Amino acid sequence: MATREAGKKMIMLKSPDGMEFEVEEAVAMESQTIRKMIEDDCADTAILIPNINSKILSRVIEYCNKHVPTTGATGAAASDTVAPAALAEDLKIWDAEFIKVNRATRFNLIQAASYLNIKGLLDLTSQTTIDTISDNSLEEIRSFLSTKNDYLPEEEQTIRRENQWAFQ
Amino acid sequence: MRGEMSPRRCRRRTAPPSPPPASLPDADDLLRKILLRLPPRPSSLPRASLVCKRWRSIVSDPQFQRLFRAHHGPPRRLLVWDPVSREQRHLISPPELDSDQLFIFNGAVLRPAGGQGCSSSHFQVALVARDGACTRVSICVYSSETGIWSNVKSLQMKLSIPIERASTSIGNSLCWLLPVHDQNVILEFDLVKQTLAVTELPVPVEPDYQNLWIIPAEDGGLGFIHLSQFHAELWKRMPDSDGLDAWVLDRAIEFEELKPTCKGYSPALVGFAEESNAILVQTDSGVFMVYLQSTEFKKVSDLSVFCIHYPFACFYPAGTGIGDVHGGDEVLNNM
Repeated sequence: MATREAGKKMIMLKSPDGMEFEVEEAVAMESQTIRKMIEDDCADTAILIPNINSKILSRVIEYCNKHVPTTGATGAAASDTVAPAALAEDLKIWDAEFIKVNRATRFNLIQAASYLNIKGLLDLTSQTTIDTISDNSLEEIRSFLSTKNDYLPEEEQTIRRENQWAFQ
Repeated sequence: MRGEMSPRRCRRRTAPPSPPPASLPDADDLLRKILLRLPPRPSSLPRASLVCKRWRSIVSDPQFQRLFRAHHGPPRRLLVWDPVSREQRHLISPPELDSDQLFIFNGAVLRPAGGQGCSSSHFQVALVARDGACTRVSICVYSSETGIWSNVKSLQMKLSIPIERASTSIGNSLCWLLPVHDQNVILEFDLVKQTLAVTELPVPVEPDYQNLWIIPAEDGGLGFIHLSQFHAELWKRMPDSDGLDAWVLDRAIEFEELKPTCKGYSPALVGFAEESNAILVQTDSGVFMVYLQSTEFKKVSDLSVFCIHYPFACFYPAGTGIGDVHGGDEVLNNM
């Protein structure tokens, strides 16, 4: 397509702390939420991303940049020379590095991925969180997630008794 | 300045600002999406429900449970078949072994031994799986009494080839002979303690996987047989002078009488009948059952192609009208 080759269409994303990020439309459209706005023609100038600060937004854009499919005239050459399996493997390694962040950042990324509807990022962030906690004790899970145990001791006993085999 | 605020008609599309989360996001919808990724093991949801009331209300919701099953894909099924009663049972394979990265390479069905065993329909199923790189084995046991799979037990070990050979039951354990590097080891799973252990074979025994078979020693402990032409050695575990278990050569058996049945190829070990304490030996003229106590043998099949055999013994209660037969051996082969 002539228009794409001449110059990629850019989209401006704006965080509530006033930072602006100019990204390729294709990269921004990794987010289904932004895609919908672009398709509905609501993104002529800039899109304000209301509850995602600039630090998190820049990480999200970094993720989308890496994961945007390389298609079209310019991308074809690159994807022809590398086997899809190798690309997938490369992405996995990249993801594993990307998600090495502290707990607060990861939770922020989960929320951002959910709000912006970026399935791959939500999968990555949620799965990493679940993997971190699934072999931990209940106390460790509560402390990791800053969740309070709101059961009365008797209630907790009843649930334990009902599912005794699960807690061995 | 680039990038003014987005047009008013569009700003309504975005959610109202909220403070960044210090803990997991509060929205139930988001927590639901995260909890969907809990591992598909039976204990996952009951455990999650104990974290707090909010988690419990999410994971006990039938709609969530449907999504949870859908997220992890339809489970594979196993068929448990009783060749005597012709009864068939379908089991859903254990969620933790039901993954693209794991390969179930062996399984065993156990019936409780003893008098009531024949009338009891309870059974256990043990499955062994390896990862794609053959660096880890995992085992999981199903009990028909409780209807659930146990938690998975795993052990790091480097398998050299995937194997398809039956286990031998020794006492409370199931044992598999596994080739690793340039030797063979015995993987032992204690069904009562639910523990996995590895025992190396003694050094003088050649790493001759095809002619080794785990068999119980006379005292019921761990042992194995090594067949070499018409000579077999039986080894067993015994405490040494330091009180540690070590391999001891128990006895040797000669099978001279089998010689005429072999025209060219060496005899091969193709099975073990636990009930009869007999090995199955394949020669050019067929498969022979050789009783280890008496070294008597009988031909059980004319098959001359090498294949592992799975013998089973069946018992008929007196008075069922099947002549004088009170017990008999039959042999299934894995053609």
